[in-house]
Amino acid sequence: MSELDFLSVEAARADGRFRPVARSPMDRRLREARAEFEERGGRLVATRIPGEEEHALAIRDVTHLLPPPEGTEPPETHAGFAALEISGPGAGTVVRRLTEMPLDDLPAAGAVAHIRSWILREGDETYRLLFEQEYGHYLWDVVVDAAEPLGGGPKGTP
Amino acid sequence: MRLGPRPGERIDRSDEVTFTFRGKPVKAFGGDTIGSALFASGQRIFSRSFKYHRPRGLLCCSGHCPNCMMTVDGEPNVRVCVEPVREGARVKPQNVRWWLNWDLMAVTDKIGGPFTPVGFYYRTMIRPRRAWPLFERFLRSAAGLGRVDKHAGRKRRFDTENRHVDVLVIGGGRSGVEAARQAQIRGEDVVLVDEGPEPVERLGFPVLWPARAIGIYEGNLVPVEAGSTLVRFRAKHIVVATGALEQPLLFPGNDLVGVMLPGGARRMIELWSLRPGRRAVVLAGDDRALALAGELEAAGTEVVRVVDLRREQLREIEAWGRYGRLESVSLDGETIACDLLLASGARQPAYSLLAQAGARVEYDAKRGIFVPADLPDGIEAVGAVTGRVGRVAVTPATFNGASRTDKCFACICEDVTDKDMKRAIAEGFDSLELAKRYTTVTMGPCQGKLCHLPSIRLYARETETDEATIGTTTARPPWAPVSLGLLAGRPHEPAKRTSMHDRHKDLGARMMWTGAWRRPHSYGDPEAEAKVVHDSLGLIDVSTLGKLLVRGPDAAAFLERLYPNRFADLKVDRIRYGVLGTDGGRVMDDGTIARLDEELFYVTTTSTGANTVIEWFDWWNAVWGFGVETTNVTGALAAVNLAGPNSRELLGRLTDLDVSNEALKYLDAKRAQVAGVPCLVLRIGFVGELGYELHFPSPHAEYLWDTLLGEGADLGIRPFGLEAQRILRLEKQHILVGQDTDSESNPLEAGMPWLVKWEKDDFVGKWALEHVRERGPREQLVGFELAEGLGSVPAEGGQIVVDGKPGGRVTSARWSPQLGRPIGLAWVPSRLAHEGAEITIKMNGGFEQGRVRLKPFFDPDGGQLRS
Ligand code: FES
Repeated sequence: MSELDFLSVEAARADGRFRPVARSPMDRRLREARAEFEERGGRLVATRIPGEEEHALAIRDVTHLLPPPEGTEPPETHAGFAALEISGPGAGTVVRRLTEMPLDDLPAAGAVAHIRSWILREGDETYRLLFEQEYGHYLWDVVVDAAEPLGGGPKGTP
Repeated sequence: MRLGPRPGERIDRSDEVTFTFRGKPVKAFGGDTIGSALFASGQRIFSRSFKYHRPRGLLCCSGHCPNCMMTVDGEPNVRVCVEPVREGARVKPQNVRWWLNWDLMAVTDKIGGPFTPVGFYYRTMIRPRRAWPLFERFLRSAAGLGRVDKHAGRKRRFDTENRHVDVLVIGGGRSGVEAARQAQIRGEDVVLVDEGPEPVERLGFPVLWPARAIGIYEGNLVPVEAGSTLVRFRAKHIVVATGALEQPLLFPGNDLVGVMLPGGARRMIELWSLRPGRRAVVLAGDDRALALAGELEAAGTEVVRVVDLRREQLREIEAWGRYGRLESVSLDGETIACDLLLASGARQPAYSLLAQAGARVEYDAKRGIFVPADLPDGIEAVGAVTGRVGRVAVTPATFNGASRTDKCFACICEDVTDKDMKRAIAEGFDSLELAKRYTTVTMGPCQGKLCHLPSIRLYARETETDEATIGTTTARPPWAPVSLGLLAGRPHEPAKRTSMHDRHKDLGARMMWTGAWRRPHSYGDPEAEAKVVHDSLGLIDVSTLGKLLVRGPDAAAFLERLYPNRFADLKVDRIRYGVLGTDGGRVMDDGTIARLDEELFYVTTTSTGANTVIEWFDWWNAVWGFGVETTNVTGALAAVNLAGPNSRELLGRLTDLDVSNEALKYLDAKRAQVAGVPCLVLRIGFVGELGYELHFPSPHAEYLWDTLLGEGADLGIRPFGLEAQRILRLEKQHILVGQDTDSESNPLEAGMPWLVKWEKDDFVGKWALEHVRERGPREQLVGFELAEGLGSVPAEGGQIVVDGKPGGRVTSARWSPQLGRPIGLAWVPSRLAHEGAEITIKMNGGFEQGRVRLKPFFDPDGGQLRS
């Protein structure tokens, strides 16, 4: 093993006996939403969530799509981050309900629902939040709750 | 009761809505407010007053006064005159003992007057002291505004939203709309907010309506109440167009049902096609009020007398009524029968928001109003709020009543009469700011909108000064009542969870807070968990440990200078325990430091210390100019500790690494795949048994946790929580920084003098520690044990008694199943800090004798750890 491999999810090795699998910190919440999972590159990814068609405003766990954009965080810390995507009509409102940061100059880092987070814009009504993975459950709950009255809900990554 | 269809009316007669009032159905039209529909149904009394329980009716019809507050669908203090009707809404009156037209408590009005002057309960109900709770209960139930349903929980959802705009216009009157239009033409991002009740003319820019700005705070922050959403605007530029508010006149009987502000009557006619009364008298302070006479006639109200207060000076006004409802008014002795009295003084600019923002407010003696001046940067005022209110009458402080049989209210919210105010002055409350606190004038739901100016005038006259001298009281947010739920918003309580959190829950763990983290206290039986660690094998989640990488050619020199112990000579792949000290030589944090490479160290900190330590490192790195880079990898890595005699066996099964005692010695650090997961394996023990700490990528945590428990099943593996860990570490006398030490503790006295390497040139806190060494230790942290079989344990923080006086304190104590007795750590005077010294501990309401132990209770020479 090389120097800092113990920080790297990719350094895990499956052999006959062991088959390491990486999970997102939002794994349990997705399971509670009865998500279907698929293993992609050693990570479990929620592909579909029952009822997701009803939500034009979608919340997705995109932790598996890391690493974060160049320069935002040092590479050794990548396993320490989780990511959420909010997309669809009302996505901006959801984000504005959770942060005081102005959204006209992204990416930017600041407090989202009291925790430090990066906000990235992926499209007109598509935002990503990048934050410390130990807050995974918390921010998932907060974002889903904020999106609910606007008709939002969780969605998988097909 | 409804007039025929009129152009411009807001009601939609084809849209019928039904709600209930006191359980009975009331018919309304779309566009009605609950208040207008109730008025249409014949209701005239809308509330009972705060203190005297006097009947009150619609006064302003614009959401400014306290008169129409009711409970709607369980929510108290809703101003029904501006609350839109909803199908099926349940409306109830409040602060009433029987029902509105017949309130038992109204007796306070009849007999209470002389006995209930302002502040009466400060004076009369203080004796006997014992009875105060009783008095208080009575007062609370007799006075007050509505009732909060304590068991309702979170019934209604409130959200908070942040918005950044170029221009925020507050107020949707003509001037506000014009300002917004101009901003839009300039291409600026503009939003207009207006609190109603009339809808705003829409001209293409975004409008929030009905929405009320509740204050202007630092940095041009304007929170706006928009239904259930609190919108927090940050605006580069704020335009205040809040207009001016009609002021009531002060005369006896001025609160009778049927006495209204002219604007209220106008809204009734224009918006809801209601006839406000049959016979009206109009006392007008400006042109607007004057013009109302015509509208009233058109609505079928007979206008029996119009007085232009700017021309005609009245000396005496008194309103008379029966059962709280207006029947006649006497003007300078002439009595006129009427059921509607529209009376207003000048319109006063609604400058509160401007004053909150820092504007000065000055008195314009010519017109008799207060106007804002010296607006702060970024704030602009337009329209009537600037003082452009036309030609107005300077109304006298109060009109004398001809015979004066009734009360004259200066403040209808809090039922403060002119007599109360005079009495306050007589008692020495000669400044209005003091009187405000004593009488509560201007502190009710109207927030001074209808009583500020009249009370300033009253004060000026009574103290024989003028309004400018009296001045205004400080304007504070909120500008209107706000429900606490709106300020609270959604419940957000961030909690850090380790990547194994759900596994702990699955195993039935009881979770507890440690700093921002949630951690397992135990999985049901902490003593059994501790025993398993001694007997076979335990597994604990230690992911909360702070974890840092320290890198660079100077890394060793850097750590050498930061810590009181040595790190320059630490060999690669070896670990050393370190205690971080402050400049004052105090214990700050502790942890292990592993050297992974010549220029790479891996530092762990306490669970709550990671951020402090990393800031500390960065600070000194900058001060000393070392080229060291620190990276916080706390969240990137999960960590578990395998502890117990069977731990080597289990680790050996899962890795190719040679785990023999010779190849992986105590305090060795190795990198290896464990069950396919890349791990940093640290052979350390916090709990006194053979142990290994595995640090690995967080996303693999559940997988590795499951694998360890599965593969170790036949070795008796069992997870253990913090409580078991606390017992085990006490058996080893390992201190917990922050539990056994405080901000004053130093390593010399905290039982770690061996750690300090005096021969080093310098380290942080050396000078201070030398001082401590010179003066000698005063108190020391030592282990202690109590008699075998003693069932109870001293409290943490419990007293050590020396010569009959408090002389020390217990910092940690547990019952040790291994030793069969209570053990702990305590600070004792130095003369008692020797092996076997007797100490007296205050506990169980008595005293117990304990014995000082300087060596670990369990495995004193560390053989277990090293084997
Ligand atoms: S009458 Fe409703 S607030 Fe004044």
